Amino acid sequence: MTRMGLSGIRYIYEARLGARAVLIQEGFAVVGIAVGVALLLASQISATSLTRSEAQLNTQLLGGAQVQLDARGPEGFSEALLARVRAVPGVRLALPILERQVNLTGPRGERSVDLIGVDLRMVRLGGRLPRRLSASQLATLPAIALPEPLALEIGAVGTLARLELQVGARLQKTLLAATLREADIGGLVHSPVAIAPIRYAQRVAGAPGELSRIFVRYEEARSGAVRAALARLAASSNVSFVPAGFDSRLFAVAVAPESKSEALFSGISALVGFMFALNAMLLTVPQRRRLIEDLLPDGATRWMTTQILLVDAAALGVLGCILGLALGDILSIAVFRSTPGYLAFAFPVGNARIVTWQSVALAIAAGFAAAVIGVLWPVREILARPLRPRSSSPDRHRARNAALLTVGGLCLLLTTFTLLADTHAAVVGNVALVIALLCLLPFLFDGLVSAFACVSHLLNGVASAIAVTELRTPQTRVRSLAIAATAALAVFGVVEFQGVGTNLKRGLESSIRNMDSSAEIWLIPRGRSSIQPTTPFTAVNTVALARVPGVSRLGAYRGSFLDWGDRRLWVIAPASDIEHPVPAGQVISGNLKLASERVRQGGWAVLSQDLASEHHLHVGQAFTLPSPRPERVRVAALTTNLGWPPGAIILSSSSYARAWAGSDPSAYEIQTTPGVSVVTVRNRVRNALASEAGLAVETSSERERRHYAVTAQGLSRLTQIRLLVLIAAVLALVGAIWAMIWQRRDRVAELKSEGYGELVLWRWLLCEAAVLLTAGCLIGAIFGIYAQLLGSHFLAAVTGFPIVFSVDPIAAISSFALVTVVAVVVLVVPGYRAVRVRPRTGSLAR
Amino acid sequence: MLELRDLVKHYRVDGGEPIHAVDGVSMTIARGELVVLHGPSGSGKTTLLELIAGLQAPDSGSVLVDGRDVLAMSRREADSYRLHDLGIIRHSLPPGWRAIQSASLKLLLANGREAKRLTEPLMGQLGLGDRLAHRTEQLSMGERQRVLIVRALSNDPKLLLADEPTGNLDTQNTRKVLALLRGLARKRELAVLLVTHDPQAAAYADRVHELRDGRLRAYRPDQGLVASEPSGPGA
Repeated sequence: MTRMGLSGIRYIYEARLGARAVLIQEGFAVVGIAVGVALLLASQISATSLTRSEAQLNTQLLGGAQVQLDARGPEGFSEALLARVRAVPGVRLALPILERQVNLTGPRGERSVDLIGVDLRMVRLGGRLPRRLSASQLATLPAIALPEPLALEIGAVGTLARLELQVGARLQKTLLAATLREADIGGLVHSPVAIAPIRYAQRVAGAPGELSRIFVRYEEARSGAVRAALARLAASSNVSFVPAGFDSRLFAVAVAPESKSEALFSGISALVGFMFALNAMLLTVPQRRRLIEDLLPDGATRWMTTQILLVDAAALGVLGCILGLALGDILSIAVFRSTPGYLAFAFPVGNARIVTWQSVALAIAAGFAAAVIGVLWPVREILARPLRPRSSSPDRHRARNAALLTVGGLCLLLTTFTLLADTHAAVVGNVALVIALLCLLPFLFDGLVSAFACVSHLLNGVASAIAVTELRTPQTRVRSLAIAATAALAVFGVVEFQGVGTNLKRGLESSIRNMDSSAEIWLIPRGRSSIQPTTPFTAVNTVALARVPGVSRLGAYRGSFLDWGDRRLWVIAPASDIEHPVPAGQVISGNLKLASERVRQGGWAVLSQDLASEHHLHVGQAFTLPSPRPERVRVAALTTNLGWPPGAIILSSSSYARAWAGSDPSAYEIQTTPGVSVVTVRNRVRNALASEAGLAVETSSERERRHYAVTAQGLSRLTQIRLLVLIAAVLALVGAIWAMIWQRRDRVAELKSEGYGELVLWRWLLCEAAVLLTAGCLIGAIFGIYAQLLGSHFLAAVTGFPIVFSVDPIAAISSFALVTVVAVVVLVVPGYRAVRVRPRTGSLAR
Repeated sequence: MLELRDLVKHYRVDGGEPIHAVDGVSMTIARGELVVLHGPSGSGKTTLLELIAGLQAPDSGSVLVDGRDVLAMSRREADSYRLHDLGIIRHSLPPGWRAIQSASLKLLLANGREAKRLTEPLMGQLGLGDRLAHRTEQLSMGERQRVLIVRALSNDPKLLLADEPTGNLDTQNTRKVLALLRGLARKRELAVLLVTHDPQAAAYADRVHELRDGRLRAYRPDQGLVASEPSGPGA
């Protein structure tokens, strides 16, 4: 039995690379694979970073605690509960925590952080958190410790650096005790937290004798009794009894919409990336066909031929993956910078860029899969038994066309079904839509080329006539379709993402406008977290403020977060005399006017629809709100989630005051006298509050802009993934076009020998490329618009965000134009160089 | 050595009459014989070669090589037949390859590492000893043709098929190549089937046939076409 070993395969491989044309084409294939791998890796990094960051927080903070008692409101609960918990038989350790959202200001800037007051005894649980601090430092210094990146960001340099803390509206000085590195606190180093001794934290927060949580570790053998006792204690004290890692669940619910959205975008990006890599391989089909047709008559067995091709694929895959991983890493660093802004109001969430082995493995697997499929699939017929009687070519051609049309049609049906029946399956719908695009592309492409042929005939141009001939040549069909498919996928991805992003943006803008326009001027604590005013502060002299010229009405606004099940809900209690306590345009079920009246009168609440569905509540139904003091209310209406993924509740100020046992405001809402400039009144209020350094005054317009900027930050990853797809698309197309030009050189040489001039040939190349790209981009844009609808409905169903459903033709047109123009422009110089080849008759290759 | 019995191969064209590429061809070629096959373009010459090589299956008929039916062979037997018993001289070399790489390709499939070493003497015999490292673009047309011949002969086949081996050559080189093939047929006792348009080939052949409309005719340049030889169904 003849055997050709690896040395023989290497011999053939080296011989092939001796041809410059082959070397360059393989180089383009490597670039194409690299772009696909880079896109896949970078989009996966984006999807995993946020979730993993939060998971690390709990690992660092908790150590070995099993359960916790958690306050239901921002004011916390009495420290007296701690002694009772410690007295429960079986409890080994009970560790108190105080948490407050504060604003931290340093020499170079300010940041909203989560102030965490801890007890030294957390060290015994195995948590690494406070080891960096000595006992004396923690016990005696009125100071805080910060993660090093945060300290650098605000300019806190050196031990005992002076900083300013703002809690509510109160400002006070503090010192930096230590900066903590990743070796000290692991992933927490990337989070906006400030750590202090618990006594100091209580003093700073103005909450003496108060706690936010108690983490408990107990003997496992007495688990049942301990848990039962702790549950009773919690119930009697109106606190929640939950697992130690409960915040992870709350965070998972809060981030779920964003995670699912990113998963959809990442999934589509991954698919597009894989197709880029595959299309790059398909451009090398002609030279591989020639190799196989050369080897088979010499007696090469099917296995020998497959080995040779697989070594090809392996070489391309290795190089492409190495380059792609490096490029993907660079892209993820360069593109992903923002923080999930709105989630930081309720969770100490940072922005760590985390590269998991799964992301790398997936990117590599896709790169190799594209290489192997791209090498073997196009030559499968040649590898088949040559002595098998073949059916006649027209029959085979018809059968293949029928199969493509059938599969494409079925996939379109599946996508439509997904859109109408189950938008949660949007990933499946998108995959089906991409398959439909690829199956129907050859027919649409032929139609567009025929249309161009008609136009060309009318124009009677030589260059366009050559282009039509070349586009219809069977030998170059695979290459032409590969380039058109690359362009189509590129535009498809960009159009879908941009359209979905635009719909989401419009919905959020509308929601924010509805929320913030309930007052013309807002009086709020300084700092970023006042976008969702949930931190109470000492009431100001409202009598004096109400007398400021131009102030028509002044009311206290209250807000908080409430954990109900796995949701950290945003609770809103607008001023009692506000005209529209329920944001117009956000009501899904119920009457807006009636709901507003009911909320004003008290005893009624407006819920987010997802929240109501989870608890089987409908309009008019009564329920008990699990607030610090449980309150019985009825459902007045159902709304969107007002831009807060876990959901929101709107109450009257009186209901809130009863339920939270507190009347301190979180903000003030001011209406101005008609005819008076809002900006003028704002300035007057600012002057009147000059002594209140911790408070800020802004108009509703200013607030909307700030609100939208923060909310948009949290969704910026979707924009970044879209940018990734666009970058990858341009790179993939440039590579494909250059490869096409390179392959054309022999044909150019032949035509030159027949007397065609360089200008005509150059115009031919541009014309052919323009037709290819236009056809591909147009097809991609049409399918992309359909995908916009699918993606928008998916986001609405998954996120609960207020999304405006529309089709964005501007996105389609601009993407189409951008990709086509960039690729054709990129072609100009290589095309010119290609037509400068020497004329020759025939090609060395068959 | 080679016996063709009533070979038939028709191609069906969508909406048109079937094309009778090979229509009942019968022929024998003995060892040491050089047979030339003329025919206009589209007459079925290349199809006939592919049938003999086992690269296509006929509609009917048989191809016997030393008594073995090529068409009844398994895939493995057919690959072995092409590798060890058959040599095919092609039109052109792959661009960029060195002469020794092109020439030793067939032997590489059979012998792996020894291929290059075993091919070099044959290259020398055909006057290519100092051209081993030259790339295709650096060889003259005649030299390229000789490289193709080396490749086809490198595994010492019994049957040699040549499809227009002198198509790109000038008169002088054509004669050299034809004389070379004639000499190889005699010396190595090869059965050679040479497909060509070139009328000079007849002078080097033991027999000349013409393939027209799928049917075989005997051809003598001094006498013109003679009556059809027994060929086709029922002959």
